[in-house]
Amino acid sequence: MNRYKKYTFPLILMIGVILSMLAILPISEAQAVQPGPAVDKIIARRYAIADVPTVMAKGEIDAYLFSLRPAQAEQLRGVPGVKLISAAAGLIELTLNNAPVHIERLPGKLTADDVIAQLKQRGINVPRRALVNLYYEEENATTYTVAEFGAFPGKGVNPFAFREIRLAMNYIVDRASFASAVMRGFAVPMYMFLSPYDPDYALVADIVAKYEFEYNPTYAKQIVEGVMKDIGAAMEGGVWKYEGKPVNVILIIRPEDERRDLGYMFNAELKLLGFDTTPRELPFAQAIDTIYGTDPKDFEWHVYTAGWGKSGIDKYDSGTIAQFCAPWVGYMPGWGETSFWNYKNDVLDNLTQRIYAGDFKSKEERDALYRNATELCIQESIRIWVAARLDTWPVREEVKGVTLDVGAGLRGIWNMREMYVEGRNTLNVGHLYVWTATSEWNVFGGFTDVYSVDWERVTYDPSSWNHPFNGRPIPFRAQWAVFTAGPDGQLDVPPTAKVWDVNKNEWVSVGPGVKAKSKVVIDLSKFIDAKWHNGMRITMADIVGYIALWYEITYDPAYSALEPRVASNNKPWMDTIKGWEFNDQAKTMTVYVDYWHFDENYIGAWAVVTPINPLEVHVASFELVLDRRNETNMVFYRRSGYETLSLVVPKHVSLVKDTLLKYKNNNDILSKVNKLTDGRMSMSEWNSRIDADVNWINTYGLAWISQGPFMLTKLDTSAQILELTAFRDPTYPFKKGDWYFGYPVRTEIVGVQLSSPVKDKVAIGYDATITAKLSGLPPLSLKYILRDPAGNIIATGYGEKAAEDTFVVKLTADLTKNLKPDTPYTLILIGVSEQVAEPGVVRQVLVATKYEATPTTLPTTPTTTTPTTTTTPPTTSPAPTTPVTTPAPAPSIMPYLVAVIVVVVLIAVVLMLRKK
Amino acid sequence: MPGAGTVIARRGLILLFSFILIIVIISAIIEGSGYSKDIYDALVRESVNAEIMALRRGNPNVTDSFIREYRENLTIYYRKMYGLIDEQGREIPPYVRMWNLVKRALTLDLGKTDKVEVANVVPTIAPASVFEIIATVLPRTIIVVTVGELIVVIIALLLAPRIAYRHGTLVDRLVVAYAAIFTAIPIWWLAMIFIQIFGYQLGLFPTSLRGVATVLNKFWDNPLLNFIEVLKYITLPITVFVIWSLGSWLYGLRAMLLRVVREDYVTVAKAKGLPEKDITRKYVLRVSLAPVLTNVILALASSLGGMIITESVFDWPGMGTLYYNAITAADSQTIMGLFVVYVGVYLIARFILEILYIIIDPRVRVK
Repeated sequence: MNRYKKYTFPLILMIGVILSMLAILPISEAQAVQPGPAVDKIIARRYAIADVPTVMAKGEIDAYLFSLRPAQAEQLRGVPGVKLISAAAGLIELTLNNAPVHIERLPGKLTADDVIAQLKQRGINVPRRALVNLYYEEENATTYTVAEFGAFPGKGVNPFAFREIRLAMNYIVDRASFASAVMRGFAVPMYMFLSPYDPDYALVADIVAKYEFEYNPTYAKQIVEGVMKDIGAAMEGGVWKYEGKPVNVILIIRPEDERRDLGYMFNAELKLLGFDTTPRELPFAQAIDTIYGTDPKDFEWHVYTAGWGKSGIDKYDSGTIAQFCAPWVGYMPGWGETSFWNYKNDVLDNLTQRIYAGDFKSKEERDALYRNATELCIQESIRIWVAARLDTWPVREEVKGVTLDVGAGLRGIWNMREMYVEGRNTLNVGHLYVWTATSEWNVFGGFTDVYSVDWERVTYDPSSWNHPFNGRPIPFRAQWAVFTAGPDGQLDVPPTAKVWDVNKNEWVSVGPGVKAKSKVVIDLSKFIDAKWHNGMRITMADIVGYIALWYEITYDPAYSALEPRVASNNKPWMDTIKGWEFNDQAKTMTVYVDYWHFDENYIGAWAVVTPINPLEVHVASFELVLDRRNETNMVFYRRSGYETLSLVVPKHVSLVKDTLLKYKNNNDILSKVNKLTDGRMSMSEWNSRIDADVNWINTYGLAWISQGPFMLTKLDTSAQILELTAFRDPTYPFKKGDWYFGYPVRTEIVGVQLSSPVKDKVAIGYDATITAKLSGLPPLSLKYILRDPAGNIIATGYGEKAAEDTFVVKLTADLTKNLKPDTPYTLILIGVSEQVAEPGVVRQVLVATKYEATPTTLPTTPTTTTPTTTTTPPTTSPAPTTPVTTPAPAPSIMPYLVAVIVVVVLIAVVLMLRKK
Repeated sequence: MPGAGTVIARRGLILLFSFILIIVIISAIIEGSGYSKDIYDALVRESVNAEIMALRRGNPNVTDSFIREYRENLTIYYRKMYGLIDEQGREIPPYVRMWNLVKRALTLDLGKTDKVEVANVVPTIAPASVFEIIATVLPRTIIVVTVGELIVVIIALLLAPRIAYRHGTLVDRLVVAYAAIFTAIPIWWLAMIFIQIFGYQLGLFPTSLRGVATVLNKFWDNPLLNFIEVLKYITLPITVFVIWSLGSWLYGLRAMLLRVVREDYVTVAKAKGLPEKDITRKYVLRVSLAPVLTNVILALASSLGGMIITESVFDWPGMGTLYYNAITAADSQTIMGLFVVYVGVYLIARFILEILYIIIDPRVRVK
């Protein structure tokens, strides 16, 4: 035994160390899972864009939240320790003025030929080709024929009034050069209103492919020549002339950014086509005045280099297609201004209104509507889409927890919650500004600029949000269960369900006979009984009262008149709500909505409400903005001549505080609040809430009290410094890692194999199969388009699923027998993942050949090929290194623990074995 | 022969008349020319269209007749707000608008601006009082540009007579070279170099001046500490300004004094063996005092105009930025407010000069 005595001390030491490590383990894990965000503090400061390379290189900031344009981002390429994150957040297009040069309004319902004949009788010879639109109007029980002409004697020509010429303009834009040379790679070509990053792009990719808008000025010239000659124009000295006068085109070019280059590129191409051009560089205000302030038929402009911002993606788009294709929204030439000529297209109006209002009964029907509208929109070509600008955000390489939101980039709601630097509890973030005169912090009509929205999103948790990779709504802080009888059926709304009555100013039962398409039961347990930042409990009263206030501002005649923008924006949603049931014990809310969507998550997201501020703050805001407007001169939604309420502006904070102080022990107010909350507020709770609010205001000088991962604890507008402090209350439901998604795994087609009796070729009259192997996040699908050399689509459809990632496209003998020998056909394969928006696209050239089979054998020769062309790989997009399901990079102590144990064991062994 | 008081009063009246005339001319340019109306018309259209689009988005089935009525009402509302029509809906002609502007300017009723670009200079929310905006922004320019100008003037007044006195020497040549170099270098470029070296590389000074606004706002809470804090912020820009500006001042004053230095009485004074200090002070500077004072006073007055690019380099929106934003946003209220202040300051400076001329040179009174 004695010989073992020498080991006693080292053994005790080793056991002691191991036990102490095990004792530490639970504490460390508790730290790792503490509620709240990844860092304790975010300090945001303003930095001018010119300073970003320096401050990023020095590590003064960990990330810059303002999206950089290509020229700005270019300066950051190669800056040591800095990586760039890009997302398609800007759209660039050329808007064409398609107004007619002459409008003829004739009594009676006439055909095009009738109109031409009548004009001829009047001695006006107009070719039939010059008539670009014909429609009918009723006035005083008389029908009138309205004929619009793109060319007319004595009135000249507007080439863009002709649909064929507009469509041809797609072939004179060298999108690839623009994206790579002018946009320096920070862009991808666009052929329609959706970019390849939009989830619906895969749905219409075959339509886009059909038109094959490659740079082909010769083809464009053919089309233009055809139309111009038909209408009586003649080319003289390289310039088109109509009635002896050059056909002039005015380009309004925005000089502020890359659109200047685009404008001049297009100008040069138009000249080559034979148009007399007048390029005019106009900055924002003058350009807006010319484009939107003048009647299109006055032809102050023909082409405008337009740009659009984009804030996120939507799995099933309803607004973008309406905005960029249909006249009814007011974004097409004429802009809905009744005194101007307006572009008319009833078919597009009807299709997009149905998509917008959810007037469809299945996904298939919605998709069909969308495809029809898309094709029409492309054929109309009022907008020539050029490129999706990849906005760029620089981040230090050591920053972890970054999620690439495909639509919003670094500005995605996930990042400030999850970003951190190992060994540091503070994140330093730069922005162009942290507050400006347009940063209005109020939930009813504020948050209209990035300098308020970006910070607001860090301070509150929404009930639902769109997935960063595919745009589908997902539950965030509320969960839901959807029950629906839609699209055709109706559910009974219980008579006891309630709605807010703006006349009686109370919650009333809906009564019998009320129906709704869907019912959504919303679990609010992550809100209710959690805390507001001021330490007070979030209760059902906050939610019920908040909803009542929305009813007030939307339907109360006086309030809605004071805030027409807020009311009109909110009304379409509120109109669908048929009743509410609030269950305080179960912490649930049931919403009966007259809304249906084939994706139940859309119904859930439609019904949810997010309480963002405590009820009493809203009540005080209502009083200041609506009841005391004459005195305060404040509004919720920005309006010239008024101050927009902002819960972070000192004088407004002071007014809110004074108003809250008046509420204490105020029975009149409590009675009003209890109407709003349906009797859920006691005087003691009310007073406690006010005390907590006032205490918060006194401490921080801000009245922004919310419920999210960070508290807004400092906003120095003069110094442009903002501080956010982590909200670590035990009732806060989320912790580091809960909202980390990483980078999307792009769908790619990694292998294509042709099986045919002839190696590498399709045997005419025999079956051929193309097997495509995809990589990406399942569920995956494959779409194919087969085109002949002339560009005609001869087959299209979906590949058959052979395995989770393998799809087979069968070209039947019936199809191949019509192929021409030794002719190259193009097979376009589009790989789509339900989880990631961007599809993978490859083009494969298939050559058909004659084949004589022997009677005994019918060999099938598989040929493996590598995809030849992959479209739209953004050069600056981050590599898809992390799958969506990657767990959060929360630091685990296990490796350290193991390392320590190993070291201790080694020391112990050494001690044990040492010679005395 | 009129007394000094009469002369001063007469000059004061002339300056006051000039002030009114300038205000009338500016008003005519802004309002009478229709420039302002065009901008407001565009704003009305933009505001109305934005609201109509919001309405259409919210209510896809809204009728055209409703839109038409809604548009008319909104147009009236905005036209009234921008002062294009009166309460009865009658068009206010440009010449009436012009005289209204003159009246408001002369009574220092600078009104409020609704332009966020202008409010952003402070930054504050719109609509904001033009007077308050100028009152906030002016000190920013004073503590950097005017103080810098003052320092330069003092240094130049101390050195220039001696350099002029020793013209042709190595020191004189060095000053000429220095002036030539720094006149050629743009101040914003010099500022960028200094910020890079002393701000980013050495970390001795803040790279943005915005932080000083917070210190100024609470200056009187602890004046000594806050003064030191302010110094920390303004040292770098003032240093840059002094280095850049001193050359041209030295060169200018030297040239002005050189003529006097070559006068016979100075040569006699030198021959008599009077000390250099006495000669430069009594024989050179005293004689040149009138033009020197003119330069100094007018330079100090004009320093209130700010420096647009340099302000941007130091991230310190002052009067230069305010001018620029007000003009690009076509904000007639603020433009007029700035002119009232700037022309007022300039004319006051002129008035002070008139008094000083009389004090330092009695012959002026006679003239």
